[in-house]
Amino acid sequence: MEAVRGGIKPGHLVVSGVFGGICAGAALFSIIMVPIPGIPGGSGFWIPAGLYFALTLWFGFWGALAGHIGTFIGMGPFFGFTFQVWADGALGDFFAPLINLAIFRATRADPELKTKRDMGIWLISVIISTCLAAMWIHFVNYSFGTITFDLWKWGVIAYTIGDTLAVWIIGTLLLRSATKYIKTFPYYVKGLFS
Amino acid sequence: MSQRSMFVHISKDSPLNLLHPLPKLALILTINTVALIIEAPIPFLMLIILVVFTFRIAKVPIIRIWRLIAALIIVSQAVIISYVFTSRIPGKIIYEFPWGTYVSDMTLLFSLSMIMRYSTMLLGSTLILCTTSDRDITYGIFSLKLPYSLAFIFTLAFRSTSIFIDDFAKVRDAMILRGTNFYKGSIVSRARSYARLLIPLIFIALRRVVEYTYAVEAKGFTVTGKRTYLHRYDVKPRDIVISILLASSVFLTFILKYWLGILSFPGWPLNMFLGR
Repeated sequence: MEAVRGGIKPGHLVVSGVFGGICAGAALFSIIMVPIPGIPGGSGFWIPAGLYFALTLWFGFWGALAGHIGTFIGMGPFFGFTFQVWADGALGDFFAPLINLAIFRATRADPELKTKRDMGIWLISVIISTCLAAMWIHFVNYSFGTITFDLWKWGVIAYTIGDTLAVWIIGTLLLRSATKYIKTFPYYVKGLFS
Repeated sequence: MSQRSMFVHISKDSPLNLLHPLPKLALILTINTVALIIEAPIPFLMLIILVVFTFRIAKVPIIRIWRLIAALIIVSQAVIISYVFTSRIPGKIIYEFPWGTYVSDMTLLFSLSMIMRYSTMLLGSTLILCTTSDRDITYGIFSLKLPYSLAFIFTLAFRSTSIFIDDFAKVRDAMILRGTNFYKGSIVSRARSYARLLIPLIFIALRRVVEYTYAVEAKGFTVTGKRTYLHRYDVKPRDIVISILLASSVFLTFILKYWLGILSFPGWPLNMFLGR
């Protein structure tokens, strides 16, 4: 394997591409199964959220990028590949797992979630990052005129609850069952990029 | 002869097919930015008519527009409910809600403008993607001087989506044969069943990552450094002229809204009738 500047390998790019496709497929299923009337590309149970939160803890920036690209590709066929869809869902889904990763790195928590401390950090960090993403996403929707400012706070609360549940259910299962194996994978990321 | 784009087969002699990917990406950005700046309903209507007319010129099947109707209906009802119940659009107040918001004579018109804003973006983006292949997007990203790694990731993600859907069906069928029931139980238990389905999918994907990495490295792919391209897209003078015109139109829209007020709500020509 050829190691290049900063330790980033072609495999890291492939991780983003392949898992981006998986997140896109999962987004399509989410929108079809549990749509939210009125929110462009929205779903009441965002399956890719659980996926890219776990991916970001395993593959750092490349996992978040997979979520970002996957969300945009997944939402596009239903609500258009518009600037709004990119700026709200896709960009929000890029920052949320990175915030979660930053909390994990700052507290030196282990994504295997073996101890109560790690589990507590995971549960709280998901709420914080999802809430921040919800604020951003609804701010974009407000800026594009899709919702009013009065509806903003209700949107933030609903989104935070829905997305947090999806991440807790799916993400926790993935982290507890697969992290031990993924730590042996050559493209497991210990920092942000490599 | 027809050519496969992201969504449909379109005629090879479509004028938009002749363009370099750069002005196509510029057109997507322009339509979205212009729609974001405008607030006035009549200019929006004119812009939508222009985009629909361009569908005809570009020889894109009009059936594509009909497929967007469901998305437009979903967004429209939400926008109208949002503005009727939770907005304070200045105008003659018709009804005031106990929680402090009100419906004025301008509420419906403003929400209509916002629906048209979304429609313009949706139609404009669809028009361009109907005349663009995923290879065009790759070269477009490269033309914008963005790293080709990004174009590579984007293309791989597009191709991986359909592979994932096939894998998903296979793994789900295998789990059903082993007794898993995805349709019984509470929402949470069903969600957990679907989450368990993701574990084998992730391991299949990890194996694929290793295989793809070997394949791209065998072809000499590196994260940085120079690379060659199989297809050549030459930027012609008309591509540059179109890109400059598109950039100018964003600037012009900005002036028309913020300096002359023509594109601010309610905008031309309604501001003359409403005396604003």
